[in-house]
Amino acid sequence: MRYGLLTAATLALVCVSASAFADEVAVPVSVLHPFRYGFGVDLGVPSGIAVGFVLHPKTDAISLEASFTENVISPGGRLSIQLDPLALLPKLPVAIYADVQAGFTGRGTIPGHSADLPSLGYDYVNLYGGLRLGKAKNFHWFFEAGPTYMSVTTGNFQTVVPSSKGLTIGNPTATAWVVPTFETGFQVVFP
Amino acid sequence: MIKSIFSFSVLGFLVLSCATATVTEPDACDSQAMSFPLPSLLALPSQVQSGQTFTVPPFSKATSFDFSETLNKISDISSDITVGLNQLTLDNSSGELSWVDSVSVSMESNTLPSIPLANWQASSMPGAQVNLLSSVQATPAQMLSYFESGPVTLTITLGSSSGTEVNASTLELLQSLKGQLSTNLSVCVTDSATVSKSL
Repeated sequence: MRYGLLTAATLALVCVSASAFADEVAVPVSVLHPFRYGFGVDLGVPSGIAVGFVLHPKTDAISLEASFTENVISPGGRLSIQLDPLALLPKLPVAIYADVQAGFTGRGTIPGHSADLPSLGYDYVNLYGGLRLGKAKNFHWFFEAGPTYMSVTTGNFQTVVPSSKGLTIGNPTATAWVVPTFETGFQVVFP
Repeated sequence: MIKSIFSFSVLGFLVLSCATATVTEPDACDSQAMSFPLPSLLALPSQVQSGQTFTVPPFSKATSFDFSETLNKISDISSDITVGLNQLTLDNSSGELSWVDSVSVSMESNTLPSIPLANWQASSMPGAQVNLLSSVQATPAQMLSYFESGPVTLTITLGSSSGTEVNASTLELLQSLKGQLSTNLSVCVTDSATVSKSL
């Protein structure tokens, strides 16, 4: 129900914006341009805080980003590819798009708990749908959400789990789907 | 408008978020030293004929393992657990088990009766370890119920029920052990569980 409302509201925004810029849309525009590059900052789960380099290769409909990430556990990295066909309408200030991300967080412990909690690291793939507020060719804010597939590894389990009677315990692993996860932030590209 | 969309989105996350995970504990291992009391053996004749064999009766020893604490930690968060063994070995680094042609292992707990866990038959002379893993007979469901219930007593029987034919040098070896055959039994349990949680 709530997703339905969100989707309907987004589509309405897109339609209103598209009508407002109908003149612009009606005129054929060249969709190719020199490389645009810039940066992005976002916050979300499971990425944490991410700061990345953004590249629009010839068209704003495709956006590539390589990010450095940090959460309370450990630093990591993330690559993403955004497919934003509505960016071909260059003055459209609102759009929905798709974003596929793959990232990792190195294994680490929560600060101050290295002795009583196991270390944790994970790889993940985010399959996001996004809402862009602003033009793709310069500054825009975005909200993204969708399912995440995670592969989690742990370490240091033997030292933090009391083992009775001489048991040795291996480090557990886990794979998981988490639905939904999200992130929000902004991107700026030039020129 | 934007604020409303964002509010709906946040509310949606809170209401609908869920996670489905498969958690795997690769191994929880324990090793117990065991000293089998040797049965009374025939005295070695002063003159041994070539090819002469002697019969060694089977002998047993019980030891206890407890994996329940580890398994119960996982069963606390999931009822969908699969348990298996990924190690069940007797140490033979000294070669004192090289004559053994059969090993049977049974398990019982304080609340569950004795059932066969493994029944190993030698196809060749064992190396540094007697690997019983390929001869496990208990099902994963049986292993789960026994290992989860508390300490499990494993009874190891060396040699076939009708006795094991050994040559003179093996008989001499067994007599030199002064009534005790020592080894280590190593057991590793692996388990995985599927967990679904609404956040």
